Amino acid sequence: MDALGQIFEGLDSNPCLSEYAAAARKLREAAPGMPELRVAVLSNHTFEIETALEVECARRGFRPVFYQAGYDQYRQELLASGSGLESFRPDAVLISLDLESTFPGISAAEASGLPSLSEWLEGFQALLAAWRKRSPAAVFVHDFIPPAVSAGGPAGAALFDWTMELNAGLRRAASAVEGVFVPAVAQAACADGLTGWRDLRFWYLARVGINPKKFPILAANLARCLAALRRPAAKCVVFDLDNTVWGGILGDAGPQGIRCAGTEYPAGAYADFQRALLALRSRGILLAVASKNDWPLVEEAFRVRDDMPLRPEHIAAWEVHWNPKPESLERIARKLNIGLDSLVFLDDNPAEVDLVRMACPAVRAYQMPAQPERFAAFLWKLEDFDQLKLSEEDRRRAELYQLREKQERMAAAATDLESFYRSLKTVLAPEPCGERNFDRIVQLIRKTNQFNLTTRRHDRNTLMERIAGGSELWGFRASDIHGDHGLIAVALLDFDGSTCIIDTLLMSCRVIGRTLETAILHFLEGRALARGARLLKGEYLPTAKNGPCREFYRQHGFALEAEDERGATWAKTLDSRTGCPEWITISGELTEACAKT
Amino acid sequence: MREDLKQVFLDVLEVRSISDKDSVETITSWDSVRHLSLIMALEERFGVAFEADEIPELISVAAIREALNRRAPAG
Repeated sequence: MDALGQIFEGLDSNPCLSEYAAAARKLREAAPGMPELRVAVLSNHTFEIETALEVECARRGFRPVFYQAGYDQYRQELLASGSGLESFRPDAVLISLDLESTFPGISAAEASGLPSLSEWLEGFQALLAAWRKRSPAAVFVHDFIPPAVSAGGPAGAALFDWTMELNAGLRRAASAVEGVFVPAVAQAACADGLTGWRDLRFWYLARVGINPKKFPILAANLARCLAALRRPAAKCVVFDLDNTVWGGILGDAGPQGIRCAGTEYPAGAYADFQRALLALRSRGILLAVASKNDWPLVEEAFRVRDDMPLRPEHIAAWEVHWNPKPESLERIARKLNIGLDSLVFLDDNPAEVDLVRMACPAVRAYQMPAQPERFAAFLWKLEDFDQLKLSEEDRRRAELYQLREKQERMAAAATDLESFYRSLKTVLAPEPCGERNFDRIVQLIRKTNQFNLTTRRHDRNTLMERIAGGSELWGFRASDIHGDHGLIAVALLDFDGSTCIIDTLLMSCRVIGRTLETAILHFLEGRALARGARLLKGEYLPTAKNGPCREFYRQHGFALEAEDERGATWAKTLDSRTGCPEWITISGELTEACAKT
Repeated sequence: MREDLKQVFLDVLEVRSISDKDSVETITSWDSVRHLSLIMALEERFGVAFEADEIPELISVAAIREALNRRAPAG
């Protein structure tokens, strides 16, 4: 085990505050170079979570740099322009509100004395909206922790119910303001036992609203949310069949003997796990099968067992044979055009899991729990699929891959490539970065690996600064006869006198291989010319994954200017402009040309 | 000083050494916020609960040792 693993193992065997303090110190020494995330902490009670949060963030591969606002200063910090919060330039803002501090006297309130929710919720939503107007930093405001006891006797839980309504209202308010999220801490506190979450000694002595002894649980929750802000989510879950999605061995029990439908044990537990997988699919995660089985038997099982929730059309890729699973995973990644590190692999067999971990360390491989009734909860606990905001593109991703498969079949059928391209009737729509597309642009910058010439993971702040400094940030949408692909490419152009520099150029792997990149370059050259540039420069910075665009500049007539181990710089004069492929229409281009003449 | 007690002081107050003579007067990191963390860490580590009105008084190593000894004489 490595040094970090040892620190966390020691911590988990004894998760107490002094161990967290010790672990934070050891981690700073053992892993000094972790990427940083600027986190501002706002609260209306005494809330010193930094140490525990630092440790839980390090567990997830990054180090928070903190800004701690003054006690109960959250409104001023969010509202005042030029506040300490604003000048800190946070990547994320954490807000912790304590029920009693927010609604003084509420703990003793009877049902009739509980205030109206809407007034507070409207005010709070306005506060969040005001902040988000001034800053691109995401906001995390955890929900209110309900009281462990309430007035009203054995049949009265008015304050508990009221708190839950307040939390539901908080979630509605947050969803109305883009970039605001509500970590589900109340549920974690209930699951842990509410009594321990408030220690009245520390409340009266120092206005401590949440018992710091529960910070390990709270910090893990918050760090999971922060991690989802910066880490790309897994795109596909690959699972075994026998004793994973159904009970029993298909080869022994036959299609009618496997347990996968109904409500009895264990069949009901497997059926619920299948439903959990389908819930992932509806979030845009692809499903794939890697099973050692005979294909005709599996096909038959899916055909005759139409009582189980999982259907063959839900599966984006099948690897059913007796070859080693690492090979299956590599084929699945190739077929779906995603990296191995976008795969989660689930198997009940520890030997398979070990083999995959050894042969494909990039794949996140997990062994299923021993009991099927724990499968669904096990899946929900995996952080690999966490994604903070589902964009419309994410929801449609599963659908889009199906569409791509259809296109591949069409490509095979087309007599030559050009007529295939022509048959697609592709339209490329460039659009300047704006409020409507900024989320998706940032998401693509964070996630795109393969067609990404420089892989610079600019954050929101950087992008806004660059635009303010005169750079141009463009998003590109694509559509064709099969439908709208959404925003699929991003470019960031810098200008320096008569030189235009392509700082960032990336394209979703969904649309690789359709010459869209040539049309995009054509458009970018137009922008460079419009800004008076004579020379266009670009870099290719190699990574483990961006091989697909290595030859981009060479193929488009750029000359190699400089090359070192970091990467290569390419340049071309704008005397001759790259032509747009005739099978791609750039929307808006015609009007632009007309306006100029 | 027993080793487990010493370690709590070192971890929470982030100091290199601690002795019986130390207190909020001698250790700059021992401020009011850190004081609460220290009290909670001690409670967790030794499975005790201090009274609310004695917590503000436990501002020296000696006072803390004494309070712990009252609860667990073996220490």
